Amino acid sequence: MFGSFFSKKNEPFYLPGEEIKLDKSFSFLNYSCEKDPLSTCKNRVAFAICMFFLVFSILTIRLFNICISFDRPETTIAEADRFYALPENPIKRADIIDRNGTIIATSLPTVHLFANPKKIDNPQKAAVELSRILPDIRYEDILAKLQKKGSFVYIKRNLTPSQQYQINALGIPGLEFEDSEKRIYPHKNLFAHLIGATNIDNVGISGIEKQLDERLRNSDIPLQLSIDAGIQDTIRQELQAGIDKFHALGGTAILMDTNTSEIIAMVSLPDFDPNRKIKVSDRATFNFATKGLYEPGSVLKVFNAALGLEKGHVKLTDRFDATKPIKLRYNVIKDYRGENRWLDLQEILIYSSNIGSAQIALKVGKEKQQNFLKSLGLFSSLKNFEVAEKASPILPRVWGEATTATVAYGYGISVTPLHLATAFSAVVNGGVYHQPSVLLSEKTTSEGIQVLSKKTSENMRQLLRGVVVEGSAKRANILGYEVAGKTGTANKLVNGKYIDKKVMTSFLGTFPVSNPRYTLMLMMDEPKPLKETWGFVTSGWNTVPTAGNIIKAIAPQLNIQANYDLEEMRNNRIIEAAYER
Amino acid sequence: MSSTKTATLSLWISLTCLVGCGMFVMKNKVQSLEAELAQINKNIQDDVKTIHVLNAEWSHLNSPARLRKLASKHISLKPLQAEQIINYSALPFEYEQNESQRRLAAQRNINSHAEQNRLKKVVRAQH
Repeated sequence: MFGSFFSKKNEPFYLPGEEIKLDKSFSFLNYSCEKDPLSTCKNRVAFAICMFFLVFSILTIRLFNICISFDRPETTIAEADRFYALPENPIKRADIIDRNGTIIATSLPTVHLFANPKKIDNPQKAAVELSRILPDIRYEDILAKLQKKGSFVYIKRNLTPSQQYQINALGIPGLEFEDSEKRIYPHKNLFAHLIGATNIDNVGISGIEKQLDERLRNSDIPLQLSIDAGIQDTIRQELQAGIDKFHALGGTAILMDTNTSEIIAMVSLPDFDPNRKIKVSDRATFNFATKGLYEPGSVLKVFNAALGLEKGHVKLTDRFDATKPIKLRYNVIKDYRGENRWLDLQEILIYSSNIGSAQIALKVGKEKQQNFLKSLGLFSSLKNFEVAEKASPILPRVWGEATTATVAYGYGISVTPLHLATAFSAVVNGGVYHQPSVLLSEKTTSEGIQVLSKKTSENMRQLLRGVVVEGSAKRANILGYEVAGKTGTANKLVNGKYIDKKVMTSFLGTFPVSNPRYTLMLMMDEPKPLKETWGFVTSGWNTVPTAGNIIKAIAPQLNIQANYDLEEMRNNRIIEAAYER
Repeated sequence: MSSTKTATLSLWISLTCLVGCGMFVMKNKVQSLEAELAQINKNIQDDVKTIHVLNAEWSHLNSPARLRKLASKHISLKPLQAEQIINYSALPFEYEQNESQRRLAAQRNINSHAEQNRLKKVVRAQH
């Protein structure tokens, strides 16, 4: 076949025996496709050479392509083939840090010990050695694991470095290590409810860890919160002291930036240590601040007063008849230790008059009341909030005249403390509602919705200051920090009946009132009467002094300049003290 | 075969050899560099892990609860009270309208303190 291409026409002449000798004239130029042995031989050699050429040229071209390829398509090359100058972060889950960069949650590199039972020759001996190094696992358990069928079984997760070293030094084939990481919370209980926890596979199961799980897994850039660890700790300590003093079942405190609704601190007590994977009571794992739905009681009178002023139905000078209870179709509205006289708006708030508040609400009407409370976010769940545990407010099924009246003083509707703090911020900050958030935003004042006028907000600040100066919140009047706020005491609903002795007490305040910067929401569950409170359980005797202690402790930390009235200061003998020195 | 053809052929062969050798050397070097890079990367990762552990420990040691305990045990500092911060105007200087006079008043105040201290020393020396 190939031979015919190379062969010449003329037939060579061979002497007998000459054709089997290899002579000098052996070349491909003079052979034919004849069936003589020499030509066949040459044919085969030529074929083999061609094949070799073909194969090697293919190899050469391919090699050339691989080594020096000019048009390597970027997308088809696997990412893993590329070499990075920078190594990837060995810690996969992002840290969580507070507004000053303090680490709140972080992951530590650890190793898991796993075994391949097929490869272990002497399980008894291995189990003895392992139970010596790992005293917290029993010999029998290890042996059972090592004798299992299959080729993979975890012996222990999260070894300590010295345990890893000792096991490695045993040199038992079939025992292997797996790199992993473990989530730890250096501040223990401090951020338990807010941050939440992760499960054994580092997947968030509660709090921020759950809500922002994807963000924490996909990026290793630390997640910065608006929380301040120092303030959080101070508030937790003061709240704990308050709860201990009044033997309350629990409590919550939220400190919020009034102008942006960023959360500075959020505490819910009792709490738990997320580092310990032990079962704690449901009460301890329950996030009071974002999931606790309660009838707020008198603190809702703040929104009621704002509603009246905003809709123009009530003026600051208007007076309301609080001499006798209001009789509605099904219920009678009474005052707790009422004044039994005509009250103006300021006095309604100071003496926390249910009758006056109900009158305002009835004057304004159901529609406007509902719309106003809705605009303050009290009717819907705070969906965008970064903590996984959230609750949707409970609203009455039928909103009749009685509901309008009772909602005016805080019964009939259940909301969370976070709802109240957010709405209150909107009322005092000039009327701008912001979604609450625990993330530190770049912007100083995020976009908000104007829900009431600046004028109303200013009036409300004055009224609330009055409550602290002369009303039920007197004990939170911290000199220099111009606290303004409203107290609330709500009877708890047990089996469909309101019980007098079991109350939820709350304080909702802002400071300094001349330029509100922080909103403080404080709530206590069932504080008990003490001798020094003269047997009272109302908010003014327990929540308010606790709030006062908190403000006194955190205001200097928050860098708020105390604004003293010189006259007020002389009364407090500060100047005298300075002269003496 | 003519001499030109031979020359061309030998040129190609030598070029091929050269390129082949060059490629081999380069490949070898790249391999060793990659090994070095991998080693460096591993070291960096180890360092990152160590730093991570140290940061966590730092945060643990700096937790406010622990600091409070230590502070109350070892130093006699108390949390700052609002009354401890007062305005300049509340200081016990006679109030002067313009600044230079205010400075003079402050200086007078300091001088009087210095004088008092000096007198105290004299009294102490006499005893």
